[in-house]
This record gives sequence, structure tokens and C-alpha cells, in this order.
Amino acid sequence: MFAKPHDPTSDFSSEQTHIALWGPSNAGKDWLVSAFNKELDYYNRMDQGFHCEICELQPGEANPIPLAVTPPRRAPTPNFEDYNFQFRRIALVRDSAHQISAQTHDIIIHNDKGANLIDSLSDRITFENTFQTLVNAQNILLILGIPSDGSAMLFPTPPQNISTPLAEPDDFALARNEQDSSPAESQLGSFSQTRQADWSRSEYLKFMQLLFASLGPTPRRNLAVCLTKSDQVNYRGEPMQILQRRYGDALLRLLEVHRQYHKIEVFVTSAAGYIRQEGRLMPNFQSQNGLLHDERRWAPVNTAAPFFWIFEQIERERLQKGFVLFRGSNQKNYIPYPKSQSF
Amino acid sequence: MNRAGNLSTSAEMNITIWGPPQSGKQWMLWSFVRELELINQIYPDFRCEIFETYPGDDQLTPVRADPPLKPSVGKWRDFMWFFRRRPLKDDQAHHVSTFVHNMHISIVPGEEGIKSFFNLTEHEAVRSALARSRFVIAILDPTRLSSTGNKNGVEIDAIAMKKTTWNQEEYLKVVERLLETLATVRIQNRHVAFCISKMDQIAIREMDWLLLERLFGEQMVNLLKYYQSQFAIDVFAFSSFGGQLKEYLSDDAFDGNNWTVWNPINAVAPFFHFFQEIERTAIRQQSPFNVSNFIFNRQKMYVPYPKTNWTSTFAKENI
Repeated sequence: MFAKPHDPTSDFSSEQTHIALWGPSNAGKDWLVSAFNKELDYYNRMDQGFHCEICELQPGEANPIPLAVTPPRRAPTPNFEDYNFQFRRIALVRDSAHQISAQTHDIIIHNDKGANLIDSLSDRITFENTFQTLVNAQNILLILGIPSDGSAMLFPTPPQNISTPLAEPDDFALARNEQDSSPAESQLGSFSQTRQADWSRSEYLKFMQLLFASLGPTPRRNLAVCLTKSDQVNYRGEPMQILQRRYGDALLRLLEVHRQYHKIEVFVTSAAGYIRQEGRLMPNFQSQNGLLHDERRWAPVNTAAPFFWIFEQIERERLQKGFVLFRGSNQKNYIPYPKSQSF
Repeated sequence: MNRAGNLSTSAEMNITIWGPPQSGKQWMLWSFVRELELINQIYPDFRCEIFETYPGDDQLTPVRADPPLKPSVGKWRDFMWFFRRRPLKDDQAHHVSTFVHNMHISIVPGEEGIKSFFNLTEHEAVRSALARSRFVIAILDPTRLSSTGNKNGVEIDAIAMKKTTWNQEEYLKVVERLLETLATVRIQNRHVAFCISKMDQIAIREMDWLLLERLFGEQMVNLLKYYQSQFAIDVFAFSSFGGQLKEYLSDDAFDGNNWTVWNPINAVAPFFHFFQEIERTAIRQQSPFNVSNFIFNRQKMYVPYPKTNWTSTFAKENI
């Protein structure tokens, strides 16, 4: 049945399942997506069975535009904006296992204005109005940056309204305008002016409490929690252990409680990755200007894992809905995505 | 391939190093690596090796002793290291005694580690991480004791005296808070090693508990003995510098390249103690129906880790 060439529009693999990706300003959303795209390069070289690609869906464009494999070079925006991407896992081998594992996903990135978001944490009704799309999403990718009161930052973040550019730029606002302009330096001025302050531990906790209250116990959601910028802190070990150290016991307990209602997985990521200099490992990231030290040695760590995990949850559910006689064999033949890397 | 390549590893071993600011936490860790290099030169039975992994990279890279010359940034630091005791003799006893330990070592920032005992909400993450650790190394710095020199005849050098000092009561209070914090989370077989640092700057030559009593007072000993009903508590003394390094470091002519004078003493002791506890337990727990267990008495065969009599080592160094 699956031996025919794969056509993503002809079967359940093309079902439009949206993934809502959200994080406060300066948490590293754009970097995560760009780094995911970069990591796909690596997996495409290693895996002869599939080719993975990510494209941007732009209004008025019939065909998705492949996303360039470059780090983001743009400034945060003060406005609310959504961006649409499409991920495709294309089978390069024509057997049933590869055919059923070749699927497509749409991803919506919600870019919000950081200051307004903090206001939205005041009560549940304001929260639900602000985060309507997020609360209604079945699949959620949450991006948690380094809290402003975290104790392990290698490069502490200066206070708000600083004049020097700093930290990972965080939205796609200037993406289109910038395609013909040059690089980073031209962006640094606006970057410094628009940078938002990082959220504190208590703000992250409040956000998560309101999110879970709004999600309710049903339906069961897929929730990938990404701890970004991990190259800028010294924590190593199990993801839940790192979460506890970054955000405290209360957030850890909150996730543990809600694991009985939702599928929740925590990922530790570094979009910038590391480089070795003089025998020492150091972040491939310049805190002074928010750029990579060496773009040629850009090797993000674990940024694909949260996306892969959500894709796999969705795909296994899709296969479960297939023709009843084939459900068992579909699940058995399904080829999982590469696993999360250790941090 | 698993994270450790071809090495079969034990479960992750969380070791947390706690101590007041500038008590020598980072120096202790790197002195452990340095001392292993020195031990390997004279240890006929085993070769002790340490590897590390980097985030997202499964390759094992040998860890080289790297003196932490830059002052600590006061931030939490994690290290993912693998320790292996590789046999150099091909007999049953040495093979029985061969283990790999998957160490997750955390250095608690000194100031925050102490503040976390007194400000329960602000530093809750640090306190909680400390409380969940099964293996704790608590460093006690005798050069910070304000009155030891007068009371016990301890000589503290001029450099150490310039820094902030604590008296015995203050030290006692902090250690009590540390033990209370550890007691908040029940962990089976928790080991706490109290390590008296900077022994190259102290003139007393006593062993472990007696040394603790002379430096930190009888009440400190009583406190630790009291908590022995909850944790396995041991006392060690060590010097990260050894006999000569301090002199070289304070010399303006020191060019930073001659590290042969870096000769730590007994920094390996708490680590070896932890490894030995884990290994003996693992051997004990192996099935009695295992054939090799039945034929060979593995527990008797086990080769313990070497121990340093640091008092005599110092005596030799000072000759």
C-alpha cells in the first residue's frame, strides 16, 4: 500500500497540525528556529533515509520559501507578530517505513511584545485574551530564556534601556527588510534600542501557572519546554535538574503535577553552540553584540530535539487514526526522529 | 554508542562541592585531577583516568589539570566527568576492582551557598539542588578562623588574615544550616565529606577528627557526630597547593609555566572514599548465585584505593 512514491498531499501525513511556538522577548525564539534549520543540515548529511527542510510561508506566496541556513541578524520588535513555517520530512527511500514516516507540519511563531506580556500576567482573563492562540493550541513549544535573577549567567544581562547591544536578537521582524541589507552591524543600533528586559523567575512561574490554569486538564496537549541559551550558563545534567536550578523548585513541581494531564518534555538547548579556543570550550556567542564568534563553526546543540519530539507525538497520533487494519504495522514500521542530546 | 563510548558506567553520581567564598572549591577539584596525574606515576596497580563530555558531544576527552588561576566568578558550575580505574595487572582482584564512575560535579557559589541557608525564598534553587545531592563535599577553610591562631597555636599567614574571617561559632552555625538543609531531603546512603582545606598554611599535624576538633572546636565535632545517624560523615584534610606552590605563586618571577611544583596532597581522598563506597556496595549487591562470586570471594579480592598519610607527606615535603 505504501510502496508508491510519497505524495504529501495524498494521505494523513499532510494533515495541517499547528504547533504554537511562544516565548517572551529575548528568550531566543528566532535563534531556536534558525538553529533548528542549521541542525537539519547535519541530520540531512547523516541520515540517508530522509531529507528534512523548513520553509517560510508568506502571505500571497503560493510556494513555501526555504529558510536560509544563517543565524538571525535582526532586532527585536515592539509589535505583536506571527510567522508561519512549514517543516517537511521527505522520504528518500521508497519502502513503507520511510513512506509512513515522511510527514509535514505547520509551525506558527507568536512574537509578542515583552512589556505587554508582563501586564497580561495580572489575571487569568487578561492572560487568556493575550494568549488565545497559545491556549487553544494542541501542540505547544515554550521557549524559556535565562531568568534575569538567575544565578549562573556567565555574562550577566545589564538592566533595561541599555545603550550597548547585547544578547540574542529575538524576532523575525526585520527578516524581510534585511534580506538585501548587510549584516549585523547595521542592525545593532536598533537592536540596542528595542531590547526588552529578561523575565524573572517569578514571572516565568506566574506565566506557567496561568498557562496551565487556562489549558485545563483536557484535552491532553503536547508541551515541549525549551531552556534556551544554555551555553551562557554553567548548568549540566538532566533537563529537569537544570530546570530546577534555573527557575526553582516551584516550576519543577508545577511541571511534575501537570505531567499527569499533558505530555510534557523539557529540552536544554544552545542555539549558538560552542567552539574550542586554546583547548578550552567556550560559547560561540559574543554577548557584547549578540553575534556568533565564528559562523563557520556554528554547531547548535539540541535545538532540533524539541521540534522532533512534538513532530513524533503528532505523527504517532496520525498513524493511530489510519485505516484500522494497518494501525499496528504503521506504528511498528514508523521510524522515530533522532533522540535528544545530552547536556 | 553510549555516552561513555566503550566504558560501562555506574549510575550518575551527583557530587556537590560546597564551601564559604574562597575556601578553595575550584582548586580542590582541579587538584584532584592534578593529584591523579602524580599518583599514576607511582601507582603500580591501576591507572586513574578522567574524561569529560561536552554538551551535545558524546566524545570522551581526557581532562587535564588546569589550575584555576582566575578568581572565581561566584557562579554555579557543573562538570560532567567520567572516572575510570583501569587495571595494570591482569588478575582477578584487579578486574574485580575496575569501575567507571559517571560524575556530575557541581560547585556551589560560595556566597550564594551560604545565603541560601538564611534567605529561603531568594536562593531556593541553590539550596534545593544542594539538598538533593547524594555526595557532598563541604570545605572548611581554617585560614578564615579569626581566633584559631591565638586559641590553638595555629599559624595563619598574613595574606589569609587580610581576608574576611569567621569565628568558630559562626562556622558552627553555617555548618549546622548546611546539615539541616541536607536533612530536608531524605536520600539513602548519603555521604558528606568535610574537608579541611589549605593545610599547607596550617601548622597543626593531627589526623582528621582530631584536627577538626583542634581547629573548629569540640562543638563542631559533636554536631557532625550527631548527624552521623542520618548521613555517612567523614573528615579529611588536604592541601590543593602542596608544599611549594604558594611560595611560587606569590613570587613575581613566577612565569606560570612551571607547574611541576604543583603537588596537591590528599585532594583525592573524598573522591576515592566515595568511589570505594559505591564499588564495595556494588560488589556486595551482586548476586550470591553468580558463579564467579561463588568461586572467588569478590569482596575480599577488592583492591582499595590508596590512602595518603598527609601528615607524613607534609613532613617529607618540608625537609
